[in-house]
Formats: sequence, C-alpha cells, structure tokens
Amino acid sequence: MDEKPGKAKVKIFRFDPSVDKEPRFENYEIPPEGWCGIKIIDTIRYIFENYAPGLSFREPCRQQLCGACTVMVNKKTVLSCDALSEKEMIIEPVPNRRVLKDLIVDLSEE
Amino acid sequence: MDSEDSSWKEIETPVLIIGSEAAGAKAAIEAQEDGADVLVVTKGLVGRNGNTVMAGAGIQAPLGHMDPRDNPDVFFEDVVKGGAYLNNQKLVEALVNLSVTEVPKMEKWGARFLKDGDKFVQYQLPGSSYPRTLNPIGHRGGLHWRRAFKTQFKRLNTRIMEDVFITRLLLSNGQVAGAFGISLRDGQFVIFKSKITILATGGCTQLYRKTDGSIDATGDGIILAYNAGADLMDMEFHQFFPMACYTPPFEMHQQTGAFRYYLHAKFYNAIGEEFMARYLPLSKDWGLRDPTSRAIYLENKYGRGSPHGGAYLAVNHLPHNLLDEWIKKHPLSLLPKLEKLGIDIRKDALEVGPACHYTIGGVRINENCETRLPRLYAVGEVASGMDGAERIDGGPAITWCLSMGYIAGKKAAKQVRELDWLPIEKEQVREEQEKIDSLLEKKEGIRGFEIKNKIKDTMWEHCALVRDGKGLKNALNVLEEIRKNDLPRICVPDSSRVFNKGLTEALEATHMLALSEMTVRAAMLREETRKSHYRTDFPKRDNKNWLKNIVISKGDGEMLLSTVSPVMTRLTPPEEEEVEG
Repeated sequence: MDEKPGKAKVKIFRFDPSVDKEPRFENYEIPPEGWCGIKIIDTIRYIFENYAPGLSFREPCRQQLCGACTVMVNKKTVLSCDALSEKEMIIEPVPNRRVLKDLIVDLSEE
Repeated sequence: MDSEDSSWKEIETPVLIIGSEAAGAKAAIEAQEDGADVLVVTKGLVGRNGNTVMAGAGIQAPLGHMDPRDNPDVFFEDVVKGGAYLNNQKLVEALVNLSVTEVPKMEKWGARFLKDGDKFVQYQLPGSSYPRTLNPIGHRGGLHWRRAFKTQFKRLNTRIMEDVFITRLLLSNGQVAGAFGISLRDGQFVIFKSKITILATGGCTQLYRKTDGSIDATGDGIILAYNAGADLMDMEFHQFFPMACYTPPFEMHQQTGAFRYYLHAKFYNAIGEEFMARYLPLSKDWGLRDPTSRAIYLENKYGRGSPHGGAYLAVNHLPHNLLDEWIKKHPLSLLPKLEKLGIDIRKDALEVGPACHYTIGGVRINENCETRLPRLYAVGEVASGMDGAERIDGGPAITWCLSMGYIAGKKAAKQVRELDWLPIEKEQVREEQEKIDSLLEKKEGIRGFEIKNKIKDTMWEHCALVRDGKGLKNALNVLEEIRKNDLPRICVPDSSRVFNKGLTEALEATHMLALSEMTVRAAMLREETRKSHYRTDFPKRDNKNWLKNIVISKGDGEMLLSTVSPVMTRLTPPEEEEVEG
C-alpha cells in the first residue's frame, strides 16, 4: 500500500427503545488495526471492546452462513462477516425491521 | 399459565427444551408428535445460532444404498473403534439403529440430497467401512437442516422463545423443576416451570483460540447441568478439524472439507512434501480429524508450515476436465471467494489448518439420554458417550442429534403425562437474580471478552493437539490465576439487561473458565495417549489402566474427578491393537 491507511470515520446507530425516545448516531475514529483489511463485523466488535461496551449486535457464525449479522453500511445491506470495512462507514440496522436494540432487529417472519 | 411478578415472569411448560437447533428441534418435534406441549428457548435466533446451521457436507446413516454390506452393526463397530472403546455402547447402539429411519426422514422434511434415482448417493469418509455419508446439495448441510426443522416447527406450531439466556436449572428436592434465565429482548428475568427439561445447548468449542464453530458455543448447558449436580464425562476430549480455511481466515470450513472428502485432496507442507505419511503411514491423507490436525500442528513446530500456521491442501493433481465436471455437480459458494483472491483450485492449493470443531465430552447420559438428575435429559453435542475418545468423520454429529432428539422427545412425551409439577423454590431464583444484578453493578475491572481471550490462548497453547504434563500444569496455573484474580473483578460496564453483550459474555466467560479447568484436569489425569487426547510424555495407548471414562461432578466447592468403566456390550479391544496416530 502506498499511503498509510490512517483512521477510519465510523458512525454507528444506537437505539434502546426501552429507554431512548429516538435513535442517535455515535461517531468514532478508528485506528487501522480496527478497520483496515478486516471485516465489518470485526470493526463493530472493535468498537464494542474499545469504545462502546453497551453496543448490541449479533455475530453468531462469522462464516457467511447464518445471516444474523446483516446490517446496513453506507445505505447498502451487507453481511458484516463478509464485507470488508471501509474508511468511512455509517453502520445502521437493516431497514424495514423493528429495531430491538442498536444493530439488532426483529428477524422473525410474519 | 403465565403469571407476573414485579421482578420476574413465570412461564409454565410441561416440556422445556433449552436449545433450538438440530438436537433440540428434533426433540421438540418428536415430543409434539406424541402429544406433549413444549417450549423451546434459545440463546439467539432459531436457525441462525449454534453449530447446526454451520454443519458441513455430510450426515451418516448405514442405508447401504451404495454398498449393501453396510448396516447398523458395521456403523456401530466403526464408531466404537473410532472412539477407542470409550463410547457408551448401549447409547451408540440405540443411535445407529435410529439413524436408519431418522436420517432419511430429513428429506421428507425438506432437506435435499445428492441422489441417484431413488437411492441416496453415499460417500465413504475416513473412519467408515463402507460408503455411508449422505451429501446435502451444495455442501451446506446446515441450510438444509434449518429448512427441514423450520417446516416442522411451522406445521406443529411449535412454541419458541428466542434470545433467552438460561443461567441456572432450578431444583426441587434434587429433581429439575425448571430453569431461570434472562429474556434478552426485554431484559426480564424469567422462571420456566417445567415437568421435564431437555438440554440441547451444544458444545464448548469456544474454549480454543482457533475454532471453526459458532461464537455461541460456550458450553453453557454443560455448566448448567454440572452446577445442578449432574455428572459430566470425557471432558478431556475435544475434536480438531484439520481443514479450517486459514486463507481467507475461517470461512466456509465445511466446503474445504469437500475437497478432501469428495476429491481426495492431498496435504503438502511448505517444502512440498506430502507429509501425512510421516505421521499416518497407513491412512496418509485419509486419516481421522485429530491425528491429521496434529500432523499439521507438528509440521509447523518443525518450521515447515504454511504462512498462517497451517498446511496446503490441493486437488491440482487431478485432470482439469474431472475438476470442471465436479464443480458443475457441486456448486460451492467458496469457489467465487477464492477466485476473488486469485486462488484457482485447478492450479493452486488452499491454506488450511486445525481448529477446534466439536466437543466430545459433556453431560453424562444413559442410553435413554437421561442425566443423573431426575427430569433432566441431555441431547446432541452437550452430551457425551456417543463418540468415546474421537468422533469419526463423515457427519455422525447431526445423526446423533436426530437420534438423541428422537429418544428424548418420545420419552419426555410419555413420561410427562405421569408427572406432577414441582414447586419452584424462590430462594434459588432470588440467589440467581442477585448474582446477575451484582454483576451488573460492577463497572470497573476486567470484561468478559478479556477473560475469554486469556482462556482461549492458554487452551490453544497447552491443552489442544499436543499435550504434556508440564504444559498442562502451566495451563492450570493460568486458569487458577484467572479464577483468583480476574473472576472477582469481572465487570459489566453497561447496566441494561436488554441485549447486554457485556453481561452475556461475562456469564459465558465464567462457564468457559470452569470448562477449561475440567479439560485440563482430566487431561492431566489421563496419563496415556488415546485418539484426540495426545500426551507426548505418555505416548502410548494404555488399555490396562485407561480403558476408562473420567467423570466430573461438583463437590463441595470443587471439581471431583473419578473414573468409571465404559459401558461395553459387544465390542472389546483386541489383545494386540494396531494403533495409528
């Protein structure tokens, strides 16, 4: 790589319907180890471990099999254990589903 | 009848099933078929959490469709020999007999298999005497199992509660009267009052740094049973899968298995040697999982490994038109991924290596899947006794789940009619609630994931594929250190009980700590080498002293280890045994 990767700007959706009136975004600047060349799910975990210990998200299989870690990144629905992190990301829950908390939505059918 | 209390909710269910995937789903379906009311609770989402959805390319049943010589007796022998005679033979017999009906039933429920007319195509994998492994289309068995169970849940209108973390089994006079847990969606404490409880929570592959299993597999159910007073068995045995994808890391491991199992791929080390013959002169590239994993591990010790600590697995010795035909018939979703990385399997090798794959030990049960505790069953990977010292290749894990689920489901449905409710002892509930609330009050200290990381590194370093007394002692010291210094400081920075990952990870870390201690203590006690348990300081199999299972039970604040003779009905080890690996 020619230039240093630098810090990534990540906006992440936070909402706990049991206490919050409305959702908000939290902003983080992530050093290269937390985003460069790794999957989005790893960046989400990096944020949970280093900045946002209350962040809720799903990550059961991490092998593109279960689909539970699906989120919306920069307005595109992605499997976060499959897609690589980018230098600027807005991470939100998948649309058109009831948000249970943060990135966790109700995935039950009907 | 559901009742409300200010601090907890109470839900009644005649049969409570903890765990929603293969074993739990099958138990629920069979119990409902026989008229029982059930409730299935699960730590995550049905069809998405646990290891079933990740299951790979096969499931075994001795149908004899490709070779009429196969039958349940041969399957029985393969499993017991594969397990080095530590299996519970009564249990194995029940499971292999049921596999003949319960595995094909999956097709009726919606799973799709490779077929030749009305016959299932069956493959012969390491450890099987005849072709026995059925091949789900696309080598993603998990997706087929998920579809099959979903259709049955729908048909039977199965009552399911997702996102429930069970933290304790409730006892009444030494019998299991239900369970206590947190509903993660609303943060409420819930008492599940049951007449019968079936544990189907899976294994504890998360104990190891490298694992190809679900992040959920923290062995919660094994600890629930142990804390309640059930016996555990064979905790020193963990299976390592030699073909986890190291590049790209830990993806689609079950599909890399397809290259080996269905195309007879070859392993190479970094200097181009077909090294397996050095360790496995008889079976070579066709060895069982643990000895094959160990060979890769040792090549790395000697500096002949691949860049990420694995080995090369290749099919490039095969003619291109053969590979092209095979790919057409087996559309693997791993292939486009490899292509993106510039890996062409016709020319290049895959980088693969060992990862903890399956928990052989677990809750001790009898052939009816009953634990020592009245009203508590254990089915699937949470239980022990099916595999002895090693699970053979070819997909018996899902087969066991189906057979065990069948046994426990039917038994529970019958037994539940004759049982009364047991009273819930509120003292236990209060105790558990206080335990969790006090965890939530601790804001400073060490977090669950940090403890998990320490455990995973220690176990990988000292108690994985190659063990010795000194390393095990080191591991025990580290684990005791964690128990003494870290556990009292375990903290949960966020106060909510709603999807609080910090809380669930703290609870899981305490489970993992106990499970790793059990593994290490049992591994220290077993001074021999037997299949998945390999001691460099005791490199020989010792049938004279160690044709035994190690049983672990909870004493007064400490782990009690004892030995018992395996349940042997038909098969005993020969006087002179040829042991490889």
